[in-house]
Order: sequence, then C-alpha cells, then structure tokens
Amino acid sequence: MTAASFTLPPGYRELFLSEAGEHLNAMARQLLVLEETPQNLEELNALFRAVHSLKGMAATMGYDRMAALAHRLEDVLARFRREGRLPAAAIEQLRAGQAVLEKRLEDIAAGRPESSGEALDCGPAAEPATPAGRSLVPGGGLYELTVVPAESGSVALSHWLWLVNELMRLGTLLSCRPAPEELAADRLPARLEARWRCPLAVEEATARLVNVAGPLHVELALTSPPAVTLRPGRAQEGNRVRVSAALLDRLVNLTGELVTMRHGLRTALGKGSLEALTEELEQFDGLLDQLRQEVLSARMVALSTVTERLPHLVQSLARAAGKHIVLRLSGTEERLDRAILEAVVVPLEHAVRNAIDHGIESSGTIQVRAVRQSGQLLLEVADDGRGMDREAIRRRAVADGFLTASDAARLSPEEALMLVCRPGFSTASRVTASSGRGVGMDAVRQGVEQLGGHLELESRPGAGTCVRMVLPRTVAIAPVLLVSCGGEPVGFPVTRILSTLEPDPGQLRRGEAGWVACLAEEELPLIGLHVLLGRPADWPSHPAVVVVNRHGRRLGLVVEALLGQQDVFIKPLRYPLDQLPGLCGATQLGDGRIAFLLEPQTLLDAGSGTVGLPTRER
Amino acid sequence: MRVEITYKFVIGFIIVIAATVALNILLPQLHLVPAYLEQTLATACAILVGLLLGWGFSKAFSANILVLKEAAGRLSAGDLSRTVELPNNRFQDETEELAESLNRVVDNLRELVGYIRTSSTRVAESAHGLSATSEEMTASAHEVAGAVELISHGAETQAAMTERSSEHIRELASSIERVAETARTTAVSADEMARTAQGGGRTVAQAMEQLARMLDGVEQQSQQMLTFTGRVQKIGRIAEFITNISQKTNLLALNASIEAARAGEYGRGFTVVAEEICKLADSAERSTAEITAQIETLREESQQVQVLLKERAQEMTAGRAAVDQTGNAFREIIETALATQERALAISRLSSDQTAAAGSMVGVIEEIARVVTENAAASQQASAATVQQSGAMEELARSAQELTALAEELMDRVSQFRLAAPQS
Amino acid sequence: MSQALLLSAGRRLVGFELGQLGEIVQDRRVQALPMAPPGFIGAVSVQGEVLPVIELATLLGEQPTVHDRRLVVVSAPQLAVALAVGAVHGLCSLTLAAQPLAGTLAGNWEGRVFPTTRGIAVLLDVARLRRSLDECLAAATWRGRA
Repeated sequence: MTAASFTLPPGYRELFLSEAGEHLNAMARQLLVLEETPQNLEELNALFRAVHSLKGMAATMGYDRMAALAHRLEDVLARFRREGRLPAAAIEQLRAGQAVLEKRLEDIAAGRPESSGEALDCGPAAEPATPAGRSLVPGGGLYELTVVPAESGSVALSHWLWLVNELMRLGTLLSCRPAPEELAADRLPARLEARWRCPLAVEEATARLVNVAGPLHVELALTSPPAVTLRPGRAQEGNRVRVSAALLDRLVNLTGELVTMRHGLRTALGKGSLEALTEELEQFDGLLDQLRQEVLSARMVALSTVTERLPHLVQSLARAAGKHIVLRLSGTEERLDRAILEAVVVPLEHAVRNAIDHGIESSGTIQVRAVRQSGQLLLEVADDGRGMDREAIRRRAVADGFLTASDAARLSPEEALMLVCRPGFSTASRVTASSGRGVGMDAVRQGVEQLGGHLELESRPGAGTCVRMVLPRTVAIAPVLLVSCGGEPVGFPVTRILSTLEPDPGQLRRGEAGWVACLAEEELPLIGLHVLLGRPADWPSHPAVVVVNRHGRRLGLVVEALLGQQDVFIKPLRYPLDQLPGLCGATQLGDGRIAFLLEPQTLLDAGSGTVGLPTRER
Repeated sequence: MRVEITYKFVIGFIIVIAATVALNILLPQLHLVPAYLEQTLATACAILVGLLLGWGFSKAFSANILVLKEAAGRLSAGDLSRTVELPNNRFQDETEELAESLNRVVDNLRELVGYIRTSSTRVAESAHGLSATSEEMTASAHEVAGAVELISHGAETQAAMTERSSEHIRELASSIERVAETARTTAVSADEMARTAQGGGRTVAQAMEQLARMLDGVEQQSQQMLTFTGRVQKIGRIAEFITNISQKTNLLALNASIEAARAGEYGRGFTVVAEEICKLADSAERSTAEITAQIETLREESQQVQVLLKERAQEMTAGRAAVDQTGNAFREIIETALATQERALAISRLSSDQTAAAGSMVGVIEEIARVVTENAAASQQASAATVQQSGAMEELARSAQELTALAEELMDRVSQFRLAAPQS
Repeated sequence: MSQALLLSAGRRLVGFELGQLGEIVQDRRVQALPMAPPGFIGAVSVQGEVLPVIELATLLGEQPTVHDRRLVVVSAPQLAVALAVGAVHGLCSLTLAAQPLAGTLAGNWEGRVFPTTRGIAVLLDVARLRRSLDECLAAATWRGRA
C-alpha cells in the first residue's frame, strides 16, 4: 500500500491534503469548544466524525502512520463518548495528537516520509483500517464512456447535466457528444459518448458515476493507462472549492431556467416584438445575476476558517514572550472570497505578531474584529498596548534618512503613522524572533494592497494601536468604473472613488499649484490621469473628473471620458506587473481589450515623484 | 259756501247802506267830531266801505276769469295736458262751474286725440311696411326682368352657336368618311408587306441558328480556358495558405518543444518528435517557397493567356451581337408589319363606325338646334311679360309711398296735441 | 542534452532555456500599460492572463530593432512576461555545456555563452531575467522618490 501511494495521481493527493487539512482545522476548533464545555456531546460527536474521516482517508491513501495515530485518537474518543464528557487530560492528549497529525500532513505535503511524533505511535499496533468498498486501486486513465437512458424511468435534462458535471469534476472531458453546451441548450440526447480522462480506477469511477446517474445507464471502458500531464506548472489542482449539494442543485435549476428562457427569447425574436424581447431580456438579466450570485457565493468562505488558528497562535506567541494576552474575536462569520481569505492570512498574522511583540507590554487584550461595510470588509487588529508615538516615528524617519526634517514636519498625523509601513522602517526598540525589524507593517501593507485593499492605522501613545485592513469582499467580480485615458480604457474599483463629475470648461481654472475645478462647495485640485500614467495625451477638451481620496483630501483625476460602471472579472497581477505602483488588477473587456484597474491612493503616492502634486499644507 | 254774484252785489249794497245809517246814528252820540262834520264823516265812511267791498269782490272775480281765459287759450293751442284749477275761494261762484265744465271738455278731447294718435301711428307703420315691401318687390321684379333678358339673350347666342356646330359636325362626318376610305387601302397594303417580311425572317433565322451554334462552341472553349486560369490563380492562394500553415506549424512545433521541455523527463521522447515537426515545418516552408515561385510564373503565363482569351471572347461576343441584331431587326420588321396591318384594319373598322356615329350626331345636333331656337323665342316672351309685371309693381310702390305720406301728415297733425304734462 | 530557443535582441544572439518558456504567440494586440517603466512596451493577454510585454533588447542594454511578429512568453513561478524580440530563429541544442567565457571576451559577454551556427549566443534564464527586471523596476522614476 505504501508503495502504491507514490504512484497515486497528484490530483488525488491534493484532494486528500486539502480535505485532511480541513478536518484537522475542525478538530482544533472542536477541542477549543470542548475545553470550555466538556459535556458538549454535539461537538464531541463532530470531533469523533472528523477523526474517523481522517483515519479513513489516510488509510485509503496509504499513509499508514497517520491512519494509525488517527485510529488511536478515535479509540480514546470512543471511550469518552460513551461517558458523555471529555476530561481536560484527554483534551491535552487529543490536542497533542492533533498537532502531530498536522506535522505528518505537512510531511506528506512536502513529500517526506511521515516521521514526526514517533513517540505517539506507541500503544496497540494499529491495524490497517481500510473501510470496505473504498479500496482504491491506483490507476485510471483514458476512458471511453457511453451513456444511454435506462429502460425504466424518465430522464430529465438535469440528470444529463448532473452526470456531465460529475464527469468534469472527477476528470477531464476530452471529447463529448453532444457537447456540454448543447446539453445545456435544450435537446435531450438519446445517447452520450465521451472520451474522459480520470485518475480514478474503473470500479471507483463507475461507482461515483452510478451515484449521480439516476435513470441513466453508464458504460465505462478503460482504453489507456494514465498519460503524463504535460503542464505540471499550469495544472493548479490546489485551488479547490467545496460546493454544497444544495448550491449545485440551485445552479442546475438556474441553468434549466436559463434554457427555458432561451426558448422564450427565441420565440420573442421570431415574433420580432421588441417589447416581448425586452421583457425576456430583463428576465434573462435577472437570472444571470442570480447565477452570478450563486457562483460567487460558492467562492465565499467564512473568515472563521482563518481566525480559528489565531487562539493557538496567540497562546504560543504569548507564552514565548512571557506575556498574558487575551484574544477577542468578533465578526468572524463574515464571508470573503477564498482567494482574498488565503491572501489575508499572512498580513493578519503579521498584525497579530506585531501587536504581541510591540504593542502589548506585559498583559493586555487583542481584539480582532471584522465588520462589513458597503462591499468591503474592515478587518481590525486592535491592541490596548502602549501605542505609537508620532513624533518618535517622525524623528526616526528623519534619522534613518527616509525624508528631510521639513518634509517630516509637513506630514499629516495619518501620514506620519503610515511611515512605519515604509520598507525597512522600524521603531521597535527590541528585535524579537517573530516580528523583526520593521518588516511587519511593510508586509501587511503590501499584502493588503495587492488584494486591492488598503491599510489604515490608528494609534495614540498609551491608547493602543489599531491596524485596519480595508479589504474587498470579492475579488473575482467587482463593480468598476471604466474611464478612457489616452484612448485606452482603465478602471477604478468603485469602492475606491468618491464621486465623478463632468464640469463645465468654465469651472476649470489654472491656479498656482495646477488646475483646479471651482465647484460650489470647494476648489478641487485636479491632476490629469494621462500625466500620472505617462501616456501621450493632451489635456482633454471636455474633461470628466474622478474624485478620489488621498490621505483624507479630495482630489480630481482628469480623464477623457467616463465609460460607465461595469461588474468585471478582476484578474490578479503577477510579477512584474504587481510591482508597478497603482495597479491593483486587470480585466478583459467584452471586446477583448485589457483594462488595468488603478488603486488611486498608491497611484498618487507613486506619481508624486514624477508630477507636481499640489503641496500638502497642514 | 256758494254765493251767486248777484247776491254778492246785493249784500254789498245793503252793507253800504247799513254802514251809512249806523254811522249817522252813532257819530252824534259819540261826539267825536263836531256836528257839522258828522254828515261828511258818515258819508266818507260809507263811501270807504263801499269802495273796499267793491275792490275785494272784483279782485276775486277777475282772478277767476283770468284763469279761465288762460285755460281757454291753452285749449285753443291744443295743450290738453293741464286741467283748469281756480284759486281757492271761500265763497265760490259760477266761475267754478265754468272751470269744471271746461275741464270735462279737456278730458273728452284728450281721450279723442289719444285714440287718433294711436291709430295714425299704426297707419303710418303699416304704410311704411307696405311701401318697403312694394319697393323690395319692385327691385326683385327689376332683377327678374334683367335675368330674363339675359336668358333670352343667351338663348339667342346659343341658337347661333348651335347652328355653327352642326355645320362643323357635318364637315367632320364627311372627313371621317374620307379617313375610312384611306384606312381600308392601308390595311390591304400592310397585309402584303407582312407576308413578304415573314418570308425574309425565316431565312434570317436559319442563318442565325447556324452562327449561334458556332459561337457557342468558341465560347465554351474560352470559358474552359478561363476556369483553368482561375484554378491556377487559386493554386497561388493555396500556396499562400500552405506558407501560412507551415509558419503556424513552425510556431506549433516550437511551442510543442517548449511543452516537451517543460514536461522534463516525460517530454524527452516528445522533444524528438517536436524537433522533427520543426524540421518538417521548415522544409515544408522551403518547398512551399519553391512551389510559390513556380506557381508565380505559371500564374503570370496563364494571366497572359487569359487576357488573350478575353479579347477573343469579346470579339466573338461582338460578332454574335451583330447577328443577333440582324435577326432582331427582321423580327421587329415582321412584328411592325403585322402590327401595322392589324392597326390599319382596326382603323378602317373604327372609321366606318365613326362615319355612322357622325351621321347620327348630325341628326342629334339639328334636333338640339331646333330646341334651342324654340327656347330663345320662349325666353323673349317671358322677358316682355316680366317688363310688364315690373311696371305694375312700380305703380303699387308709388301708391304705397303716397299712403305713407298721408299717414305721416296725420301723425304730424295729431302730435300737435299735448296729452300729458311734459315729463321731466 | 538540453535545448534553447535562439532569439535576436538588438545585435545580440540570445538563447533562452526552453523549459522556462510558456509558449510563443503571434499577432497579439499589445495594449498600453499604465505606469510603465522603460522597456515595458505594453500588455497582452495570454491564456486569460495579463502579461507585460517587455523589450528584451532594452532589458539587456541594447538598442532595440524591429520586432518579430511573435512574442516569446516566459512563464515561471517567479515571473510571467511576454518578450518582444528582434527575431525568433528556432531551436538549438546546447551540445557543449554553456560556459562563462574566460579572459578578455568575458567583458563583452556576461553570463554563460554557447556557440551556434549563427554565432555565439548568451544563455538567458528566468533568474537572470528577473534580476534585470528588478534593476529596471528599481531604476524607474516612481521608485526614486524620497
């Protein structure tokens, strides 16, 4: 069995890693709850289930030592489950076991033999626990697949869709007749033939397919052994999302409705009635919106999946630093796009480490709070420690040569605080293991800005520090204001702009510090976006203005035209594009053009070196 | 209290006498005046009393008489608006009665004059109406007379014109007859012509058929040549396509090699294949370049042939067009001759119809002329009668005007009487 | 026996390690790139990913020449870019292990070089490219602020 595990297709291993990780996280969470309420039978059962699943999975994959340890933990749990309560000693034991399991999982992930925590393996020899019927013969490969409706029972379109969905989920459809798109259209096929690459063995694959096939009869034949995946670099098997069956049902239903809608649309088109067409299109729009919501919600994950590690982290860090720290969590039920959630882990941990190492002196509270605010999520890490001294930061910045004394004096309080986010800046008097010389805040800021968010700091000497990460909730699709600059489209995340205007040419005036728009309530300083972006374009004759916030001051970016607001799929940027300041993503428009998304604040900060920004007087 | 004038005088006389007597008795007793003067004084007193009484009586009387006189004067002037009113007297007399009877006379007169005035007003109104009506009637009678005159005049003109039209129509009828004659001769000659043309047409058609067959053959040949050169051109495009494909193959092969390199150990075998593909694509590109060059020369040559062929084809088409034209001309001549014949026949048919119609038309127009003449006579009679009638109407209008004048005079007279006090 | 893709960049012959390339694309629309430092001539969309188009000649300190219709996509975990090059010549085998040149020649050819039928080529890899990019980004004006 052990030998077999090395020939397992990588996709299956990834699945195991991700699922086992989730079970281990659940264990940690359940143990925390049980520590407080040892007689919580519900949690105890859940814990038992988690350990049991872990054991089964590990055994199936051939990770015997992991399975054995899980088996022992299961034994312990079974005993206390009968008693109805979990004593503190057992919790400690289980926690230790959980930690070892985590280590072993890391070993497996890194491709090392499971070596850690030998001591815990003592005890009764673990019999290889392989659940009956789940034996996985490594194999799989290229299948020829024929599906026909069984004689009995009526076949609905959803059955076909379910099956195709499952085929796509379990493997790769190389060819499919009729094509999935045709299936989604309207016709019920009499027969479906497909060539399918799947890492599962014949029995397993058949079993999985029969599960979803319903009244469909599936015939499966293996034609070739698994071929080499050509693009290991591109096959990103790790990005899996678990989707609930209910959600899938809803998606299938929605797809069905869309199919019906298409009929309606076709009828309306045939009639040539503009009214009917408009009505159908409106309905279509609504359905698409719903579909989008559903698909997006599939990507949303609760913040708690990340924050549940925090108690552990804080505890161990506090112990290491010899401090007494209470962690309070709130708002962790808020959901975020999983891509953001994954990326937020590092900045969040940094912020917490910073709070423990630099914020709190000997004892105190760290409050991690999540609040939803109009499409954004505010994630705050606040401590009640000694806070930061702006004057000290200014002095330090000048002493380290970051800026001149006169520049430092001109900075607003917020800007002075933000100095700690400069790379290589640190006001820490001590250097500790976990939170080194000023790398903390720099990393936090960069991490947050890469997500299309931004960082805010609040601090007063003696009154603690609050690090506020303003994050977009969804990364995949977000409303974006598209504008034209230098003849090409660029976008601003709608959450990052204050307003837009189209001023009369008479309202624009050239002041001492550059152009300003004389509005009824204010004089708005203006900067040409093309100047900022270094594009060869003239000052537009009928300019439109995007008003943005720059360190609390309103500023107008002049563009050629406002192209309108659109919900777009935002693509994250990789190196070296992520190094260009002010870019927070890109999107491909309907006509195939790329529109870069700009983050106004960082854009302006970067542009201040090249263009004469209005001087900031305090 | 009523006292007659006679009595008034008697009573006055008695009072004077009594006063004289009384004074004669009283004065001596009073010794107011010397005795010699007593008689004188008494007489003087008596005269004084008598004078006073007489003045009083006569004053009242003459006042009443004055009033009566005034009233009578008014009456004679026709003023019936006021009654006679005497000044108030304690002792009324005959003048009162006289005033009363005068008042009664005024009342009666007022009633009478009022009646006359109303009646005369009405008469005057009627007379006015009558005269207006009669004037209107006179005017209409004049109009009618004018109209009738116009009609009779028109009828005369009509009669004259009708006379002239019938003359013209008669002329027309005779010319139609002449046309019909001509048409008949034309039809006969057209028939002859059509027969001749049909004979010529048949001969030309045979010649044309032969020519067309010949031309068809030539054209088919040139068409084949054209398709051939077209194919040659297409080959050129195919060569371009091949070049494109070999470039793409090259790109694909490069990409395949990259894939293979990325696949590492597993891709090693594939690398060889990719390299082979690369080489193949390269050699394909090279040979396509050669093919392209050859095709280019072929294409040029075929282009020249094509140009020549096109010219030939154009010449042929021109020849064919000429033959076609001749045939068409003959066909047109025959058609025209046939059509002319038909038309000539139709014209002669039509013109005989027209002759008949013209004859009946002459009859009709003569009938019309008769009716028109009768019409003119009748309208002249009517005109005379109308003139007579309008004279009578004028007479009537004159009488009505006289009556109006009379009524107006009467009104004038009556209005001299004033029936009521002038309203202020 | 490993292989390299032989390219021209300016007057230089460059070989790029084949395993670090993503693909070669042809006739793609190159769009303007905001905040672009020198050498970044635009952006292009390849397989759904937005990549910067970088002029290899500029990056190597050469005068750029006319570009090939093809863009060479470098795809590695550390970076993903599309390179605009003078010409794509094809594959070549690194028959002899590429070596740093000794002596006076080394001044002209930094890094490892290898002989090809067209001349001596510099062997380029992702690490080298990344170093050049880092320098280029660090030199950009918006980095030079206080």
